Amino acid sequence: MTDATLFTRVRRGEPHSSAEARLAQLWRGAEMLWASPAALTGVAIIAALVVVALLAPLLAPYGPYAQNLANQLQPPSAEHLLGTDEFGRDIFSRIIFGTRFTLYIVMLVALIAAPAGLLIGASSGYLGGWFDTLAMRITDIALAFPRLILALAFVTAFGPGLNNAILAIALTGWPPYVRIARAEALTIRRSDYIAAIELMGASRLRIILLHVVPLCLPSLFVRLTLDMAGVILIAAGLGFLGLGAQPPAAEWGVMLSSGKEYMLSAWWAATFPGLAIFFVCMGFNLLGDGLRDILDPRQES
Amino acid sequence: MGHYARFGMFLLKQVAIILATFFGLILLTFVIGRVMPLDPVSAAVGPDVTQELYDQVYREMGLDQPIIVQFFDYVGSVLQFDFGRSFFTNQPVTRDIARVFPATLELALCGVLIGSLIGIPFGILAAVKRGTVIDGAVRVVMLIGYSAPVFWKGLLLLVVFYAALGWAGGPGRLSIYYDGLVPTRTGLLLIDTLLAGEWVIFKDAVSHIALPAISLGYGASAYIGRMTRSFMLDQLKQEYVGVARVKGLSERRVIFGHVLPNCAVQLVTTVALTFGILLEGAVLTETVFAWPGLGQYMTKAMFNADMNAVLGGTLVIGSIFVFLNLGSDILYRILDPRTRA
Amino acid sequence: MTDAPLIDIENLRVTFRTRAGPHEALRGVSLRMGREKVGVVGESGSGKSLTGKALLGLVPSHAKVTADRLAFDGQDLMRMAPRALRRIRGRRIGLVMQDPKYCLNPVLSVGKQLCEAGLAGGIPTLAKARSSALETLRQVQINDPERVMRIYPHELSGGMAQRVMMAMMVVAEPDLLIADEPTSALDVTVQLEVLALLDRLIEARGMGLIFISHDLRLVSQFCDRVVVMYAGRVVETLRASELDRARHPYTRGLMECLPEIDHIPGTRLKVLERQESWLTE
Repeated sequence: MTDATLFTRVRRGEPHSSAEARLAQLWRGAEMLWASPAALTGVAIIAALVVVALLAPLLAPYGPYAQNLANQLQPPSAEHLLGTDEFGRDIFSRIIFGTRFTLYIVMLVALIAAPAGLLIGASSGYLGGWFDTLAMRITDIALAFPRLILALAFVTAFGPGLNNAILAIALTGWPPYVRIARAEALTIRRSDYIAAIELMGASRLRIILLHVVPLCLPSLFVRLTLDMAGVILIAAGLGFLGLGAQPPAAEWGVMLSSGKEYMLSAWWAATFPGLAIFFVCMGFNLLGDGLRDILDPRQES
Repeated sequence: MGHYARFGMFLLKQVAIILATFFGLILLTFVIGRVMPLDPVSAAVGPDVTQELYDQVYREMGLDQPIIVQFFDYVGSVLQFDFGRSFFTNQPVTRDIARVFPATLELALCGVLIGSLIGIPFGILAAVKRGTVIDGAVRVVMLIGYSAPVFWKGLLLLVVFYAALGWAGGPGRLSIYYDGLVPTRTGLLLIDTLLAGEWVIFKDAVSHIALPAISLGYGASAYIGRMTRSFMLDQLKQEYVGVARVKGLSERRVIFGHVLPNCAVQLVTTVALTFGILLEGAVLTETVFAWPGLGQYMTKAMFNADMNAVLGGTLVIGSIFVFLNLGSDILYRILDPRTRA
Repeated sequence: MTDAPLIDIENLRVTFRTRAGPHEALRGVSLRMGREKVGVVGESGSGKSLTGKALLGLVPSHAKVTADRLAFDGQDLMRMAPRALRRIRGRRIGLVMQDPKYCLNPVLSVGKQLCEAGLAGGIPTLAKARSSALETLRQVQINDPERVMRIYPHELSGGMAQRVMMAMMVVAEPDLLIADEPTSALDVTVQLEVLALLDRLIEARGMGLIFISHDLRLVSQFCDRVVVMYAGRVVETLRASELDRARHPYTRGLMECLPEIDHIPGTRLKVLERQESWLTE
């Protein structure tokens, strides 16, 4: 087969192998994403976030920590697009470098909470029995707790700081992933193909890691995207309260927090970091909603 | 008969879940307060204390006992509403919380009120006008509502409506010169001032609570509105809606007489959940508006590494969450005829 | 009452906009009937349900409806104000659908839904609506109507629910009842019972009936006339007693697919073979 025919098969949804089927599904998803302006906006915002984070030193006109005390709290101007803060630092440059903190937080939380939840949930759904009962009870209990308050309590115990805040957010974030992975694992568990693998003598660990976990990934990914907005808001909240990243870090929550002191005289110092948080949150919300509509067609007719 | 027995079983099960959840909550705060810190005493009183005080607290916390004994002591005192002493106010945490909580409650109640009054009608509107410009506009406004950090919304409101326009009162619950003039009955200033017949002070209280309540209420209305829209859309797809139209009912009767009652149960749950979220949100909002509530108390406690106060606040808000969950489950059961069979 | 036929449809077309372009679901349906029992047969997607929905003005809003004539009792439904259309729906046309489980509102009591139908259908007071609801329930052989009025739909069995549905749709004494596969979701034993009831109800009240079904034999036993639909248009209209005189190959094909009691084991049932020409002719 030539590539051209493979491409047509994938596009028309007439796959010849399971790999092609997966490709076809991805293609259909991409088509639907393309057709939804809202989801596309989300993709654009998140792509912009990543690009800006990667190219921060090239894009920022000043260093994020370059002080100029002669130039404190200047309103937005040609030299300082979004004005300067109380140390005369360029807010625009700090927001650009702040994307790195945001990405760092989001990725680390995802990397800690999602795999933990995935593993517990997949095992719980596949194994069933007492393990399932116990895991689900604990998850239900954890789901009933207020997330922000718990994160605050954790940070108080760990001590303030960016990494501690990330750990605290991750520690309060795993229960939804357990739920989702378990729901997926329950449907997979009874499938013939799992039964076939069991007959071939595969170990439980092997089945969970190589066969159950991969099938849980798509819905987990959607949930993760939707959750990222919440993670950013909590991280910003912790930063705002002074419990997350610490000054002089160019983290948006911290910038907002120190800017708030000058809010009445220099509105830009807190307004623009807040705007940045808002845009990124909106991006994740839009993308998450779009992904959910694609993976769960029940929602939209 | 069978129905009551089943309802009894349901209640028993709920109580069991609640007890387990409470136990989990207490265990978790115990772990955070006593197990995780290398030195629980410094965690509780801070690093700069005399050896004497240190030893006293060490014994008070029962740290010379085995950890299991410590845990049961802790459970015992929590059950008696004894959360220990706050080291920065030098008062029992319980008394502190009783003092500051009404302010937070008032704020969260106003927020949930605003959120429901705006969110539910606009959610219905968006669902009925689905796919139109109206739906789009409502959805964008809601998207902004739940994407913007609550403290940022608060700051912007403060700058515009207090500093620039002077329409609203500034930080705090009352202007300083009215402080302490109204006797405390419920702790909710809006109600206390009305009970005392103090119109002028009531207006002052309204102008102070307006901005924090709106910044909480906007987010709440965004969440409630989004949920309302999605519940309504789910129901609008059902066949009974078509049947109601076949009967010759007006569109208004179809929506309010048939579709909305089917969403009512889920809406109650959503509003209850929102109230819990607002209690959390209040922690962030209170900092912006210098609102003397539980959030501000907890924030101050955190900076002073006052573990007892932080955990006390966590327990209180956590317990409210648990009860809200229980309450909405029971209401669900009572309101939905399908669960009565 | 005028001399006009109860239903007069000419060249009814319904077009859905889809992502793949416009899809014409009804492609020129014509039907005239009086107070008689007309069966509409066809496979799923042939447009038989949609024809009923178009009569009721309940076609989804993203569809375009055109017709040379779409009249009920001499009144042009195409040019009618929504309010007047609503009156026609409530008072003069009823619809019984396939699955009663989803057709009754789960959070309203049976009595409330019945009374509401009566009130919307022109019964002046709640008391009168209630008494005619009770009477109609008795007519559909519900023995303890007082109790049934108080309970909620989930407490009804499938057959009971469909009888309640039928009662709800005739309580306002309409002139026409559209029954869209009214028995397909029910147990086989209940099906005949419900059909007999439906028949009696129609006879007693002198209503017209449009009976939509995919079951040719059932329709031919039950109705005066049979309309056969294929791919959005009417391919043949026959008297039920003259079914074997069907000329259209699709109708003939349908009849040959029916298993017979005296079917000889071992011989295969015919498989319906469709021809492209049916779509265009």
